[in-house]
Amino acid sequence: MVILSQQKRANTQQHKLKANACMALLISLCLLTASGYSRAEISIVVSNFNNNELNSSLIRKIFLGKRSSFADGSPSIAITQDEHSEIAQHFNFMLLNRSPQQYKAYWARMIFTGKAYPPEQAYSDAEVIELIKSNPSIISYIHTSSLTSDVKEVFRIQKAPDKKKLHF
Amino acid sequence: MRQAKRLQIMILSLFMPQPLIASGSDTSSPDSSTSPQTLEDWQQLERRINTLERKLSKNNKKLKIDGFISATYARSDDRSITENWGGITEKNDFGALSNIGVQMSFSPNPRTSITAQFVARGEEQWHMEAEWAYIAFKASNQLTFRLGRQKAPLYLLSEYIEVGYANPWIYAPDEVYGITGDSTYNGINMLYKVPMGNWDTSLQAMWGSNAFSHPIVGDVSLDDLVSLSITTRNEYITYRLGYTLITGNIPALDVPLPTIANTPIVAGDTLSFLDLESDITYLSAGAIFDNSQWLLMTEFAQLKVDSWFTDTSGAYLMIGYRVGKIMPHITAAKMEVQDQGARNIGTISSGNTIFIPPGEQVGTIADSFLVQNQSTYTLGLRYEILPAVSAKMELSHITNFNGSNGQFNASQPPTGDSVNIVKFSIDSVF
Repeated sequence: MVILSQQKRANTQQHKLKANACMALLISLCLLTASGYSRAEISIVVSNFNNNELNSSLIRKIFLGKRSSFADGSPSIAITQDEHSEIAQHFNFMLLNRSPQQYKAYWARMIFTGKAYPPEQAYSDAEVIELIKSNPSIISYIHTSSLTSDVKEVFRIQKAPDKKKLHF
Repeated sequence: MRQAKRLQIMILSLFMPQPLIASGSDTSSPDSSTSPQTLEDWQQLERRINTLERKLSKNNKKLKIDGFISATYARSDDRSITENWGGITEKNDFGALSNIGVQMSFSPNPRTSITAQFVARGEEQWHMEAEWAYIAFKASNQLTFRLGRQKAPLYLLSEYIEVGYANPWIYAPDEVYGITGDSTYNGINMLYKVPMGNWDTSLQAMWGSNAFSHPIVGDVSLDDLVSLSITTRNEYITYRLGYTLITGNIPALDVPLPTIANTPIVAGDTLSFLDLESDITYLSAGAIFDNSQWLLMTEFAQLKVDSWFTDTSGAYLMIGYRVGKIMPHITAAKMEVQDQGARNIGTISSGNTIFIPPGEQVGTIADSFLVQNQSTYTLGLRYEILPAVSAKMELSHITNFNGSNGQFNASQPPTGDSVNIVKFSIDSVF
Protein backbone atom coordinates (compact mmCIF):
# COMPACT_ATOMS: atom_id res chain seq x y z
CA MET A 1 0.00 0.00 0.00
CA VAL A 2 2.77 2.38 0.99
CA ILE A 3 4.64 1.57 -2.16
CA LEU A 4 1.50 2.15 -4.20
CA SER A 5 0.78 5.57 -2.65
CA GLN A 6 4.44 6.57 -3.19
CA GLN A 7 4.11 5.59 -6.81
CA LYS A 8 0.89 7.61 -7.04
CA ARG A 9 2.64 10.68 -5.57
CA ALA A 10 5.51 10.24 -7.98
CA ASN A 11 3.03 9.99 -10.84
CA THR A 12 1.16 13.14 -9.86
CA GLN A 13 4.47 14.97 -9.52
CA GLN A 14 5.41 13.80 -12.98
CA HIS A 15 2.05 14.99 -14.27
CA LYS A 16 2.56 18.39 -12.66
CA LEU A 17 6.00 18.66 -14.22
CA LYS A 18 4.57 17.70 -17.58
CA ALA A 19 1.78 20.24 -17.19
CA ASN A 20 4.29 22.95 -16.30
CA ALA A 21 6.46 22.04 -19.26
CA CYS A 22 3.38 22.16 -21.50
CA MET A 23 2.43 25.60 -20.19
CA ALA A 24 5.96 26.88 -20.71
CA LEU A 25 5.95 25.49 -24.23
CA LEU A 26 2.54 27.04 -24.92
CA ILE A 27 3.62 30.44 -23.61
CA SER A 28 6.86 30.39 -25.59
CA LEU A 29 4.92 29.31 -28.69
CA CYS A 30 2.53 32.23 -28.20
CA LEU A 31 5.47 34.60 -27.82
CA LEU A 32 7.14 33.13 -30.90
CA THR A 33 4.05 33.51 -33.05
CA ALA A 34 3.49 37.01 -31.71
CA SER A 35 7.04 38.06 -32.55
CA GLY A 36 6.82 36.18 -35.87
CA TYR A 37 3.62 38.05 -36.66
CA SER A 38 5.08 41.47 -35.94
CA ARG A 39 8.11 40.60 -38.05
CA ALA A 40 5.76 39.65 -40.86
CA GLU A 41 4.42 43.21 -41.09
CA ILE A 42 6.05 44.98 -43.99
CA SER A 43 6.36 48.75 -44.42
CA ILE A 44 6.80 50.25 -47.87
CA VAL A 45 9.15 53.18 -47.39
CA VAL A 46 10.36 56.23 -49.30
CA SER A 47 12.56 59.22 -48.55
CA ASN A 48 11.31 61.84 -46.05
CA PHE A 49 11.59 64.33 -48.93
CA ASN A 50 9.13 62.36 -51.07
CA ASN A 51 5.63 63.85 -50.67
CA ASN A 52 3.87 61.80 -53.33
CA GLU A 53 0.59 60.03 -52.74
CA LEU A 54 1.10 56.28 -53.09
CA ASN A 55 -1.49 53.52 -53.13
CA SER A 56 -1.08 49.75 -53.53
CA SER A 57 -1.82 49.81 -57.25
CA LEU A 58 0.81 52.48 -57.95
CA ILE A 59 3.37 50.69 -55.75
CA ARG A 60 2.66 47.44 -57.61
CA LYS A 61 3.25 49.13 -60.97
CA ILE A 62 6.57 50.61 -59.82
CA PHE A 63 7.82 47.27 -58.45
CA LEU A 64 6.76 45.41 -61.61
CA GLY A 65 8.58 47.86 -63.89
CA LYS A 66 5.37 49.18 -65.47
CA ARG A 67 5.98 52.67 -64.13
CA SER A 68 9.20 54.55 -63.55
CA SER A 69 7.91 57.78 -61.99
CA PHE A 70 5.98 59.00 -58.97
CA ALA A 71 2.71 60.98 -59.25
CA ASP A 72 4.61 64.30 -59.52
CA GLY A 73 6.63 62.99 -62.46
CA SER A 74 9.92 62.59 -60.57
CA PRO A 75 11.76 59.32 -61.31
CA SER A 76 11.09 56.30 -59.11
CA ILE A 77 13.66 53.58 -58.46
CA ALA A 78 12.36 50.40 -56.86
CA ILE A 79 14.75 48.41 -54.67
CA THR A 80 13.70 44.94 -53.56
CA GLN A 81 15.21 42.76 -50.89
CA ASP A 82 17.09 39.54 -51.69
CA GLU A 83 14.60 37.48 -53.72
CA HIS A 84 15.26 34.41 -51.55
CA SER A 85 14.56 36.20 -48.26
CA GLU A 86 11.28 35.72 -46.42
CA ILE A 87 10.42 39.44 -46.51
CA ALA A 88 10.79 39.56 -50.33
CA GLN A 89 8.68 36.45 -50.77
CA HIS A 90 5.97 37.86 -48.46
CA PHE A 91 6.04 41.18 -50.29
CA ASN A 92 5.85 39.50 -53.71
CA PHE A 93 2.97 37.34 -52.56
CA MET A 94 0.94 39.91 -50.60
CA LEU A 95 1.37 42.95 -52.82
CA LEU A 96 2.39 41.61 -56.22
CA ASN A 97 0.22 38.48 -55.90
CA ARG A 98 3.03 36.23 -57.12
CA SER A 99 4.77 33.13 -55.78
CA PRO A 100 8.59 33.03 -56.12
CA GLN A 101 8.19 31.04 -59.35
CA GLN A 102 5.54 33.37 -60.78
CA TYR A 103 7.70 36.38 -59.87
CA LYS A 104 10.66 34.83 -61.69
CA ALA A 105 8.51 33.91 -64.72
CA TYR A 106 7.11 37.46 -64.86
CA TRP A 107 10.60 38.95 -65.03
CA ALA A 108 11.69 36.35 -67.59
CA ARG A 109 8.87 37.60 -69.84
CA MET A 110 9.87 41.23 -69.30
CA ILE A 111 13.63 40.67 -69.78
CA PHE A 112 13.46 38.50 -72.89
CA THR A 113 11.02 40.83 -74.64
CA GLY A 114 13.26 43.78 -73.76
CA LYS A 115 10.50 45.57 -71.83
CA ALA A 116 12.07 45.98 -68.37
CA TYR A 117 14.67 44.66 -65.94
CA PRO A 118 13.97 43.62 -62.35
CA PRO A 119 14.88 46.06 -59.55
CA GLU A 120 18.29 45.91 -57.86
CA GLN A 121 18.33 43.99 -54.59
CA ALA A 122 19.33 45.08 -51.09
CA TYR A 123 20.25 42.49 -48.49
CA SER A 124 18.92 43.96 -45.23
CA ASP A 125 16.55 46.57 -43.76
CA ALA A 126 19.53 48.70 -42.69
CA GLU A 127 20.86 48.69 -46.24
CA VAL A 128 17.47 49.82 -47.58
CA ILE A 129 17.33 52.71 -45.07
CA GLU A 130 20.88 53.85 -45.93
CA LEU A 131 20.09 53.71 -49.67
CA ILE A 132 16.90 55.79 -49.27
CA LYS A 133 18.83 58.37 -47.19
CA SER A 134 21.32 58.74 -50.05
CA ASN A 135 18.81 58.72 -52.95
CA PRO A 136 15.32 60.28 -52.60
CA SER A 137 14.08 58.49 -55.79
CA ILE A 138 14.18 55.10 -54.10
CA ILE A 139 11.10 53.20 -52.96
CA SER A 140 11.61 49.96 -51.08
CA TYR A 141 10.31 47.89 -48.17
CA ILE A 142 11.48 46.83 -44.69
CA HIS A 143 10.11 45.02 -41.64
CA THR A 144 7.80 47.41 -39.79
CA SER A 145 9.84 46.67 -36.64
CA SER A 146 12.91 48.21 -38.35
CA LEU A 147 11.21 51.56 -39.12
CA THR A 148 13.29 54.63 -38.20
CA SER A 149 12.78 58.39 -38.58
CA ASP A 150 15.21 58.30 -41.55
CA VAL A 151 12.50 56.98 -43.87
CA LYS A 152 8.81 57.56 -44.42
CA GLU A 153 6.29 54.72 -44.35
CA VAL A 154 3.76 55.08 -47.19
CA PHE A 155 1.97 51.73 -47.01
CA ARG A 156 1.84 48.77 -44.67
CA ILE A 157 1.18 45.13 -45.43
CA GLN A 158 -0.57 43.94 -42.27
CA LYS A 159 -1.28 40.28 -42.63
CA ALA A 160 1.24 37.50 -42.92
CA PRO A 161 0.48 35.26 -45.89
CA ASP A 162 -0.89 31.79 -45.39
CA LYS A 163 2.16 29.49 -45.55
CA LYS A 164 0.18 26.94 -47.52
CA LYS A 165 -0.57 29.47 -50.23
CA LEU A 166 3.02 30.65 -50.37
CA HIS A 167 4.62 28.06 -52.62
CA PHE A 168 8.00 27.80 -50.90
CA MET B 1 22.40 5.62 -50.84
CA ARG B 2 24.26 8.36 -49.04
CA GLN B 3 26.48 8.90 -52.06
CA ALA B 4 23.42 9.22 -54.25
CA LYS B 5 21.97 11.78 -51.85
CA ARG B 6 25.22 13.76 -51.83
CA LEU B 7 25.26 13.73 -55.63
CA GLN B 8 21.66 14.96 -55.63
CA ILE B 9 22.57 17.84 -53.31
CA MET B 10 25.57 18.70 -55.48
CA ILE B 11 23.41 18.79 -58.59
CA LEU B 12 20.77 20.87 -56.84
CA SER B 13 23.34 23.30 -55.51
CA LEU B 14 24.54 23.85 -59.08
CA PHE B 15 21.11 25.25 -59.89
CA MET B 16 20.90 27.19 -56.65
CA PRO B 17 22.06 30.79 -56.78
CA GLN B 18 24.52 31.65 -54.02
CA PRO B 19 22.29 34.04 -52.02
CA LEU B 20 19.86 31.20 -51.33
CA ILE B 21 22.55 29.24 -49.52
CA ALA B 22 23.61 32.37 -47.66
CA SER B 23 20.03 33.20 -46.64
CA GLY B 24 19.90 29.90 -44.75
CA SER B 25 22.33 31.29 -42.20
CA ASP B 26 20.39 34.56 -42.05
CA THR B 27 17.24 32.87 -40.81
CA SER B 28 19.06 31.35 -37.82
CA SER B 29 19.96 34.85 -36.59
CA PRO B 30 17.30 37.10 -38.08
CA ASP B 31 18.35 40.21 -36.18
CA SER B 32 21.81 40.30 -37.69
CA SER B 33 20.27 40.97 -41.10
CA THR B 34 18.28 43.98 -39.90
CA SER B 35 20.61 45.71 -37.45
CA PRO B 36 24.38 45.40 -37.78
CA GLN B 37 26.01 44.61 -34.42
CA THR B 38 29.75 44.83 -34.87
CA LEU B 39 32.09 47.21 -36.63
CA GLU B 40 32.71 44.51 -39.18
CA ASP B 41 28.96 44.30 -39.88
CA TRP B 42 28.84 48.05 -40.46
CA GLN B 43 31.86 47.98 -42.76
CA GLN B 44 30.33 45.16 -44.75
CA LEU B 45 27.06 47.09 -45.00
CA GLU B 46 28.88 50.19 -46.16
CA ARG B 47 30.67 48.25 -48.88
CA ARG B 48 27.37 46.79 -50.11
CA ILE B 49 25.70 50.21 -50.15
CA ASN B 50 28.59 51.70 -52.06
CA THR B 51 28.30 48.99 -54.68
CA LEU B 52 24.54 49.40 -54.97
CA GLU B 53 24.84 53.19 -55.13
CA ARG B 54 27.44 52.90 -57.87
CA LYS B 55 25.11 50.64 -59.81
CA LEU B 56 22.21 53.04 -59.39
CA SER B 57 24.13 56.27 -60.04
CA LYS B 58 25.57 54.96 -63.28
CA ASN B 59 22.01 53.98 -64.12
CA ASN B 60 23.08 50.46 -64.94
CA LYS B 61 25.63 51.56 -67.47
CA LYS B 62 26.89 48.04 -67.79
CA LEU B 63 26.35 44.94 -69.82
CA LYS B 64 23.48 42.82 -68.57
CA ILE B 65 23.59 39.16 -69.53
CA ASP B 66 20.60 36.86 -69.12
CA GLY B 67 19.81 33.47 -70.53
CA PHE B 68 17.28 30.68 -70.83
CA ILE B 69 17.43 27.00 -71.63
CA SER B 70 14.99 24.21 -72.39
CA ALA B 71 16.26 20.64 -72.41
CA THR B 72 13.59 18.35 -73.80
CA TYR B 73 12.65 14.83 -74.75
CA ALA B 74 9.89 13.94 -77.19
CA ARG B 75 8.58 10.82 -78.85
CA SER B 76 5.56 9.94 -80.95
CA ASP B 77 3.71 6.59 -81.26
CA ASP B 78 3.47 6.88 -85.04
CA ARG B 79 6.00 6.71 -87.85
CA SER B 80 4.79 10.09 -89.18
CA ILE B 81 7.04 13.16 -88.85
CA THR B 82 5.74 16.41 -87.36
CA GLU B 83 6.24 19.41 -89.58
CA ASN B 84 7.38 21.79 -86.87
CA TRP B 85 9.81 21.30 -83.97
CA GLY B 86 12.44 19.61 -86.12
CA GLY B 87 10.21 16.63 -86.86
CA ILE B 88 9.22 14.44 -83.90
CA THR B 89 8.96 10.75 -84.84
CA GLU B 90 8.61 7.42 -83.03
CA LYS B 91 12.33 7.59 -82.22
CA ASN B 92 13.67 9.09 -79.00
CA ASP B 93 14.36 12.75 -79.61
CA PHE B 94 16.30 14.95 -77.22
CA GLY B 95 16.87 17.82 -79.65
CA ALA B 96 13.66 18.70 -81.47
CA LEU B 97 12.21 21.06 -78.85
CA SER B 98 15.43 22.02 -77.04
CA ASN B 99 16.96 25.46 -77.19
CA ILE B 100 19.30 27.84 -75.42
CA GLY B 101 19.23 31.62 -75.55
CA VAL B 102 21.55 34.35 -74.35
CA GLN B 103 20.57 38.00 -74.19
CA MET B 104 22.93 40.91 -73.78
CA SER B 105 21.75 44.43 -73.12
CA PHE B 106 23.69 47.64 -72.71
CA SER B 107 22.45 51.14 -71.84
CA PRO B 108 24.89 53.89 -72.84
CA ASN B 109 22.44 56.39 -71.29
CA PRO B 110 19.07 56.21 -69.50
CA ARG B 111 17.09 56.75 -72.71
CA THR B 112 18.93 54.35 -74.99
CA SER B 113 19.53 50.62 -74.84
CA ILE B 114 21.05 48.09 -77.19
CA THR B 115 19.85 44.51 -76.99
CA ALA B 116 20.93 41.31 -78.73
CA GLN B 117 19.39 37.90 -78.16
CA PHE B 118 20.96 34.80 -79.67
CA VAL B 119 19.07 31.53 -79.77
CA ALA B 120 20.39 28.08 -80.74
CA ARG B 121 17.79 25.38 -81.40
CA GLY B 122 18.11 21.63 -81.46
CA GLU B 123 15.95 21.47 -84.59
CA GLU B 124 18.48 23.67 -86.42
CA GLN B 125 21.54 21.67 -85.37
CA TRP B 126 22.22 24.25 -82.64
CA HIS B 127 23.25 26.98 -85.05
CA MET B 128 23.17 30.29 -83.21
CA GLU B 129 20.82 32.90 -84.67
CA ALA B 130 20.20 36.50 -83.72
CA GLU B 131 16.49 36.60 -82.84
CA TRP B 132 16.56 40.12 -81.44
CA ALA B 133 19.15 42.76 -82.32
CA TYR B 134 17.90 46.29 -81.85
CA ILE B 135 18.51 49.72 -80.47
CA ALA B 136 15.73 51.19 -78.34
CA PHE B 137 15.07 54.83 -77.67
CA LYS B 138 12.77 55.93 -74.85
CA ALA B 139 11.18 59.18 -76.04
CA SER B 140 9.16 59.54 -72.82
CA ASN B 141 7.91 57.38 -69.97
CA GLN B 142 5.08 56.32 -72.28
CA LEU B 143 6.72 56.08 -75.69
CA THR B 144 9.55 53.80 -76.85
CA PHE B 145 10.92 53.23 -80.35
CA ARG B 146 12.97 50.23 -81.43
CA LEU B 147 14.94 49.80 -84.60
CA GLY B 148 16.45 46.53 -85.78
CA ARG B 149 15.68 42.83 -85.69
CA GLN B 150 12.73 41.94 -83.48
CA LYS B 151 9.85 39.54 -82.98
CA ALA B 152 6.49 40.64 -84.30
CA PRO B 153 3.81 40.63 -81.60
CA LEU B 154 1.53 38.42 -83.70
CA TYR B 155 0.04 36.55 -80.73
CA LEU B 156 -0.11 36.63 -76.94
CA LEU B 157 3.13 34.71 -76.47
CA SER B 158 4.94 35.45 -79.76
CA GLU B 159 7.63 37.63 -78.22
CA TYR B 160 8.72 35.08 -75.59
CA ILE B 161 7.49 31.82 -77.04
CA GLU B 162 10.97 30.31 -76.91
CA VAL B 163 11.52 31.04 -73.23
CA GLY B 164 10.19 27.72 -71.93
CA TYR B 165 10.29 28.84 -68.29
CA ALA B 166 7.95 31.77 -69.02
CA ASN B 167 5.35 29.57 -70.76
CA PRO B 168 2.95 27.03 -69.30
CA TRP B 169 3.51 24.52 -72.12
CA ILE B 170 6.65 22.90 -73.51
CA TYR B 171 5.52 24.53 -76.74
CA ALA B 172 2.42 26.64 -77.39
CA PRO B 173 -0.40 25.03 -79.43
CA ASP B 174 0.65 24.46 -83.04
CA GLU B 175 -2.94 25.02 -84.18
CA VAL B 176 -2.45 28.75 -83.55
CA TYR B 177 1.28 29.32 -83.30
CA GLY B 178 2.10 26.96 -86.19
CA ILE B 179 -0.08 28.83 -88.71
CA THR B 180 2.31 31.69 -89.23
CA GLY B 181 5.75 30.18 -89.08
CA ASP B 182 8.47 32.65 -88.19
CA SER B 183 7.56 35.96 -86.57
CA THR B 184 10.99 37.62 -86.66
CA TYR B 185 11.30 40.74 -88.81
CA ASN B 186 13.64 43.64 -89.42
CA GLY B 187 12.11 47.03 -88.92
CA ILE B 188 10.83 49.68 -86.61
CA ASN B 189 8.56 49.23 -83.62
CA MET B 190 6.67 51.79 -81.58
CA LEU B 191 5.38 50.97 -78.13
CA TYR B 192 3.01 53.40 -76.46
CA LYS B 193 1.77 52.88 -72.91
CA VAL B 194 -1.63 54.48 -72.42
CA PRO B 195 -2.09 55.65 -68.84
CA MET B 196 -5.64 54.55 -67.98
CA GLY B 197 -6.73 53.89 -64.39
CA ASN B 198 -6.42 50.31 -63.19
CA TRP B 199 -5.91 48.94 -66.70
CA ASP B 200 -2.43 48.99 -68.22
CA THR B 201 -2.99 49.49 -71.91
CA SER B 202 -0.26 49.42 -74.51
CA LEU B 203 -0.36 49.99 -78.24
CA GLN B 204 2.26 48.46 -80.44
CA ALA B 205 2.82 49.32 -84.09
CA MET B 206 5.54 47.86 -86.28
CA TRP B 207 6.69 48.12 -89.85
CA GLY B 208 9.35 46.00 -91.47
CA SER B 209 10.26 43.10 -93.74
CA ASN B 210 11.46 39.52 -93.46
CA ALA B 211 12.53 36.50 -95.45
CA PHE B 212 12.33 32.93 -94.19
CA SER B 213 11.95 29.35 -95.28
CA HIS B 214 8.46 27.82 -95.04
CA PRO B 215 8.29 24.03 -94.57
CA ILE B 216 5.95 23.55 -97.56
CA VAL B 217 6.56 26.34 -100.03
CA GLY B 218 10.21 27.11 -99.41
CA ASP B 219 11.70 30.59 -99.44
CA VAL B 220 9.14 33.26 -98.68
CA SER B 221 9.96 36.95 -98.77
CA LEU B 222 7.75 39.35 -96.90
CA ASP B 223 8.57 42.77 -98.26
CA ASP B 224 6.17 44.94 -96.39
CA LEU B 225 4.93 43.94 -92.97
CA VAL B 226 2.67 46.14 -90.86
CA SER B 227 1.42 44.93 -87.50
CA LEU B 228 -0.79 46.64 -84.95
CA SER B 229 -1.75 45.31 -81.58
CA ILE B 230 -3.47 46.52 -78.47
CA THR B 231 -3.03 44.85 -75.10
CA THR B 232 -4.85 45.80 -71.95
CA ARG B 233 -4.42 44.14 -68.58
CA ASN B 234 -5.36 44.54 -64.95
CA GLU B 235 -4.21 42.47 -62.01
CA TYR B 236 -5.86 39.24 -63.22
CA ILE B 237 -6.96 39.66 -66.82
CA THR B 238 -5.15 40.35 -70.08
CA TYR B 239 -6.91 41.03 -73.39
CA ARG B 240 -5.09 41.30 -76.68
CA LEU B 241 -6.11 42.09 -80.24
CA GLY B 242 -3.70 42.03 -83.16
CA TYR B 243 -3.87 42.71 -86.88
CA THR B 244 -1.04 42.16 -89.34
CA LEU B 245 -0.93 42.93 -93.04
CA ILE B 246 1.88 41.55 -95.17
CA THR B 247 2.61 42.06 -98.83
CA GLY B 248 4.94 39.32 -99.81
CA ASN B 249 6.11 36.86 -102.35
CA ILE B 250 5.17 33.21 -102.13
CA PRO B 251 7.34 31.25 -104.54
CA ALA B 252 6.29 28.78 -107.20
CA LEU B 253 5.55 25.27 -105.99
CA ASP B 254 5.84 22.11 -108.09
CA VAL B 255 3.55 19.23 -107.20
CA PRO B 256 3.83 15.88 -109.04
CA LEU B 257 0.49 14.67 -110.47
CA PRO B 258 -1.03 11.30 -111.32
CA THR B 259 -3.10 10.75 -114.45
CA ILE B 260 -6.48 12.43 -114.10
CA ALA B 261 -9.37 11.28 -116.28
CA ASN B 262 -10.95 13.77 -118.70
CA THR B 263 -7.98 16.13 -118.45
CA PRO B 264 -4.80 16.30 -120.46
CA ILE B 265 -2.84 15.50 -117.33
CA VAL B 266 -0.84 12.30 -117.36
CA ALA B 267 1.39 10.71 -114.74
CA GLY B 268 4.71 12.50 -114.49
CA ASP B 269 3.29 15.96 -115.12
CA THR B 270 3.90 18.51 -112.47
CA LEU B 271 1.50 21.11 -111.26
CA SER B 272 3.27 24.41 -110.83
CA PHE B 273 1.68 26.95 -108.61
CA LEU B 274 2.61 30.36 -109.86
CA ASP B 275 4.98 32.65 -108.12
CA LEU B 276 2.59 35.21 -106.66
CA GLU B 277 2.70 38.60 -105.07
CA SER B 278 0.15 38.21 -102.32
CA ASP B 279 -1.52 40.03 -99.53
CA ILE B 280 -1.44 38.07 -96.31
CA THR B 281 -3.47 39.08 -93.27
CA TYR B 282 -3.38 37.72 -89.74
CA LEU B 283 -6.04 38.52 -87.23
CA SER B 284 -5.66 37.35 -83.67
CA ALA B 285 -7.48 37.83 -80.40
CA GLY B 286 -6.54 36.39 -77.04
CA ALA B 287 -7.22 36.54 -73.33
CA ILE B 288 -5.53 35.33 -70.15
CA PHE B 289 -7.02 35.01 -66.69
CA ASP B 290 -4.44 34.39 -63.96
CA ASN B 291 -5.29 34.86 -60.28
CA SER B 292 -2.12 32.97 -59.30
CA GLN B 293 -4.20 29.83 -58.67
CA TRP B 294 -6.30 29.43 -61.81
CA LEU B 295 -4.75 30.00 -65.21
CA LEU B 296 -7.05 30.26 -68.22
CA MET B 297 -5.81 31.10 -71.68
CA THR B 298 -7.59 31.30 -74.98
CA GLU B 299 -6.64 32.57 -78.38
CA PHE B 300 -8.07 32.70 -81.87
CA ALA B 301 -6.10 33.36 -85.04
CA GLN B 302 -6.96 33.63 -88.70
CA LEU B 303 -4.62 33.66 -91.68
CA LYS B 304 -5.87 34.84 -95.07
CA VAL B 305 -3.79 34.67 -98.23
CA ASP B 306 -4.95 36.08 -101.59
CA SER B 307 -3.55 33.25 -103.70
CA TRP B 308 -3.50 29.51 -104.10
CA PHE B 309 -2.26 29.28 -100.54
CA THR B 310 -4.83 28.23 -97.96
CA ASP B 311 -6.79 30.41 -95.54
CA THR B 312 -6.52 28.88 -92.10
CA SER B 313 -8.02 29.57 -88.71
CA GLY B 314 -7.09 28.11 -85.36
CA ALA B 315 -8.00 28.42 -81.70
CA TYR B 316 -7.22 26.93 -78.32
CA LEU B 317 -8.51 26.94 -74.77
CA MET B 318 -6.28 26.07 -71.83
CA ILE B 319 -7.21 25.61 -68.18
CA GLY B 320 -4.63 25.14 -65.45
CA TYR B 321 -4.87 24.98 -61.67
CA ARG B 322 -1.91 25.51 -59.36
CA VAL B 323 -1.66 23.29 -56.30
CA GLY B 324 1.49 24.38 -54.48
CA LYS B 325 4.38 23.79 -56.85
CA ILE B 326 2.36 21.70 -59.28
CA MET B 327 0.13 22.90 -62.08
CA PRO B 328 -1.89 20.31 -63.97
CA HIS B 329 -3.43 21.70 -67.14
CA ILE B 330 -5.57 20.69 -70.08
CA THR B 331 -5.68 22.22 -73.54
CA ALA B 332 -7.97 21.73 -76.51
CA ALA B 333 -6.82 23.20 -79.83
CA LYS B 334 -8.17 23.07 -83.37
CA MET B 335 -7.05 24.33 -86.76
CA GLU B 336 -9.07 24.23 -89.93
CA VAL B 337 -8.61 25.38 -93.50
CA GLN B 338 -11.45 27.71 -94.46
CA ASP B 339 -11.31 27.50 -98.24
CA GLN B 340 -10.64 23.81 -98.88
CA GLY B 341 -11.53 23.03 -102.50
CA ALA B 342 -12.89 26.53 -103.04
CA ARG B 343 -9.83 28.55 -103.91
CA ASN B 344 -9.28 29.92 -107.36
CA ILE B 345 -5.95 28.42 -108.20
CA GLY B 346 -5.77 30.17 -111.59
CA THR B 347 -3.93 29.19 -114.71
CA ILE B 348 -1.34 26.61 -114.00
CA SER B 349 1.31 25.46 -116.41
CA SER B 350 2.81 22.01 -116.48
CA GLY B 351 3.66 19.78 -119.40
CA ASN B 352 0.17 20.77 -120.56
CA THR B 353 -1.31 24.16 -119.86
CA ILE B 354 -4.79 24.02 -118.42
CA PHE B 355 -7.17 26.23 -116.58
CA ILE B 356 -8.28 24.83 -113.26
CA PRO B 357 -11.40 26.23 -111.72
CA PRO B 358 -11.90 25.78 -107.98
CA GLY B 359 -13.29 22.51 -106.73
CA GLU B 360 -11.90 20.42 -109.60
CA GLN B 361 -9.85 17.29 -109.08
CA VAL B 362 -6.53 19.08 -109.51
CA GLY B 363 -7.60 21.52 -106.85
CA THR B 364 -8.28 18.56 -104.57
CA ILE B 365 -4.80 17.25 -105.22
CA ALA B 366 -3.34 20.66 -104.50
CA ASP B 367 -5.33 20.77 -101.28
CA SER B 368 -3.89 17.45 -100.18
CA PHE B 369 -0.49 19.13 -100.08
CA LEU B 370 -1.55 22.40 -98.54
CA VAL B 371 -4.52 21.78 -96.30
CA GLN B 372 -3.78 21.31 -92.61
CA ASN B 373 -6.69 20.28 -90.44
CA GLN B 374 -6.20 18.90 -86.96
CA SER B 375 -7.23 18.98 -83.32
CA THR B 376 -4.94 18.41 -80.37
CA TYR B 377 -5.91 17.52 -76.81
CA THR B 378 -3.09 17.96 -74.35
CA LEU B 379 -2.78 16.91 -70.73
CA GLY B 380 0.15 18.55 -69.03
CA LEU B 381 1.88 19.03 -65.73
CA ARG B 382 4.28 21.76 -64.70
CA TYR B 383 6.37 21.34 -61.55
CA GLU B 384 8.46 24.11 -59.99
CA ILE B 385 11.72 22.49 -58.89
CA LEU B 386 13.30 25.79 -57.78
CA PRO B 387 12.35 29.45 -58.34
CA ALA B 388 14.26 29.47 -61.64
CA VAL B 389 13.91 25.83 -62.71
CA SER B 390 10.77 24.01 -63.75
CA ALA B 391 9.98 20.57 -65.12
CA LYS B 392 7.12 19.91 -67.54
CA MET B 393 5.53 16.88 -69.07
CA GLU B 394 2.81 16.71 -71.68
CA LEU B 395 0.80 14.07 -73.45
CA SER B 396 -0.80 15.22 -76.71
CA HIS B 397 -3.44 13.38 -78.70
CA ILE B 398 -3.57 14.76 -82.26
CA THR B 399 -6.56 13.85 -84.41
CA ASN B 400 -9.37 15.08 -86.75
CA PHE B 401 -7.17 15.37 -89.84
CA ASN B 402 -10.28 15.40 -92.13
CA GLY B 403 -8.47 14.01 -95.13
CA SER B 404 -5.39 16.19 -94.67
CA ASN B 405 -1.95 15.48 -93.27
CA GLY B 406 -2.48 17.86 -90.36
CA GLN B 407 0.73 19.46 -89.13
CA PHE B 408 2.75 16.50 -90.37
CA ASN B 409 5.25 16.24 -93.17
CA ALA B 410 3.54 15.28 -96.46
CA SER B 411 6.30 12.75 -97.19
CA GLN B 412 5.44 10.85 -94.00
CA PRO B 413 1.81 11.57 -93.05
CA PRO B 414 0.03 9.97 -90.06
CA THR B 415 -0.67 6.28 -90.65
CA GLY B 416 -3.93 6.22 -88.69
CA ASP B 417 -6.64 8.54 -87.39
CA SER B 418 -4.54 9.93 -84.59
CA VAL B 419 -1.00 10.41 -83.28
CA ASN B 420 0.08 10.59 -79.64
CA ILE B 421 3.17 12.51 -78.60
CA VAL B 422 4.81 12.53 -75.19
CA LYS B 423 7.10 15.41 -74.23
CA PHE B 424 9.29 16.22 -71.21
CA SER B 425 11.32 19.32 -70.51
CA ILE B 426 13.48 21.02 -67.92
CA ASP B 427 13.36 24.81 -68.32
CA SER B 428 15.44 27.43 -66.61
CA VAL B 429 16.31 31.11 -66.73
CA PHE B 430 19.67 32.39 -65.59
